[in-house]
Amino acid sequence: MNGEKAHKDELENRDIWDLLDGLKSPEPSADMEMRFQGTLDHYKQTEQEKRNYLQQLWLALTTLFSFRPQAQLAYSVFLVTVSVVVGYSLNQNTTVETNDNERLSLLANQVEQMRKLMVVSLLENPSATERLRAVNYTGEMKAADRQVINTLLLTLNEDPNVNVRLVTLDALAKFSSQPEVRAGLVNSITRQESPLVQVAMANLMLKLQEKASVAPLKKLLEQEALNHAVRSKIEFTINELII
Amino acid sequence: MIDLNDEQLMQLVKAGDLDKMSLLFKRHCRSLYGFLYHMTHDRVASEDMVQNVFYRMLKYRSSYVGTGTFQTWMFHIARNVLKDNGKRRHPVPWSDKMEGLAENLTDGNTADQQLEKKHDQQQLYRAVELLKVQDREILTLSKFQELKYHQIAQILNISEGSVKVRVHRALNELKNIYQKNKLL
Repeated sequence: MNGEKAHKDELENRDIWDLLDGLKSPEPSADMEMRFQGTLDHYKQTEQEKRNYLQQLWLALTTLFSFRPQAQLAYSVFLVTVSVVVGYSLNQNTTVETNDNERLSLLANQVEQMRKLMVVSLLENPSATERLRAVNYTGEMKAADRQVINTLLLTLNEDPNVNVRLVTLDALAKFSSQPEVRAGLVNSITRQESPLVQVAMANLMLKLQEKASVAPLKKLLEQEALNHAVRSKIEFTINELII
Repeated sequence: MIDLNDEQLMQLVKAGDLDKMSLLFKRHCRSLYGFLYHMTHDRVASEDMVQNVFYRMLKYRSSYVGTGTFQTWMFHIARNVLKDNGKRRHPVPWSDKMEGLAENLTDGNTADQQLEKKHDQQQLYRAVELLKVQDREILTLSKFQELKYHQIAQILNISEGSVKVRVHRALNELKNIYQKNKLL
């Protein structure tokens, strides 16, 4: 049955195929060839003109150089002049770039100054949150000057809020390569009363291997009211530092 | 010189003998026109596109590598021209499309037979037009251009087997549309 259907389809397809013969396309108009000939002639002419122009240019150049040595000299001078002009303009561009770089660094400097002012003024704010924000700003500073360090040390010693003091300690740790920061930290040890800050301070001293902190740490041990855990921590730190 | 084949002539054109292009034009303009006409059913646009195809062949003659036949290359370019033209072309009125059909009904049958045949061909013409572009293209290349399957495969960049399948499918589709229209 299927074979019969396929055969029928095949015959019908052949009928359609034959019927398509009647749809032969019409003849193109008689002037189609002429039109193309016109296009071809025009194209050839354009190509020829292009070739002629290049040939003439080449001929003119070779003639100029073969018969007139001074033309060669003039051409050389022309090339040197062009090189100098190009070199000069490139150099100018470099100068412009240098100026841009200078301007950028000036701008960065100004931003740094602004940040410093903000840190100093915010640290005097009565709100602890604002003071925390101020300390966090120092994290974005590449280096801290004496004013910032003094303000931070003052905060570490005087701020009533433990959290602010802890964050300040972290901030100062970042600048611990500066000798005045290390000295300030060592001096601050005996002024801390909060067990949390005392432990943090002991940890930092151990991390920095600051042997100058042994004496103030020992002084802390003399306090009778010292938290038991803090006492053990400090004893451990002293032992580690004096080895 | 007339004895040179298409590929040899095109190589001469490529080398700078541009006049040989007119020989190639003479040989292929009718078949190319036929292809374009069956794809667009627009006489004027088809003639313009024939000019365009040969102009492109002149302009880009250096890109002719001669690995396939000249005809394959020509149809490649024609398909591109067709694509470009398709974006701009407006639909052609039905009366214009019927124009070419009437010319082909000149055999010496009786008036009734001729009328019936004309009617059949009009139906077939409508059916061809309703085919998808790909189906119409493959039928045009195989039926009207009488190209071999391997040549069509090169032009469409598909395998010979796929060409066979597509021709068969296009013919089935044409038959279905034609029979449906006939019953209406």
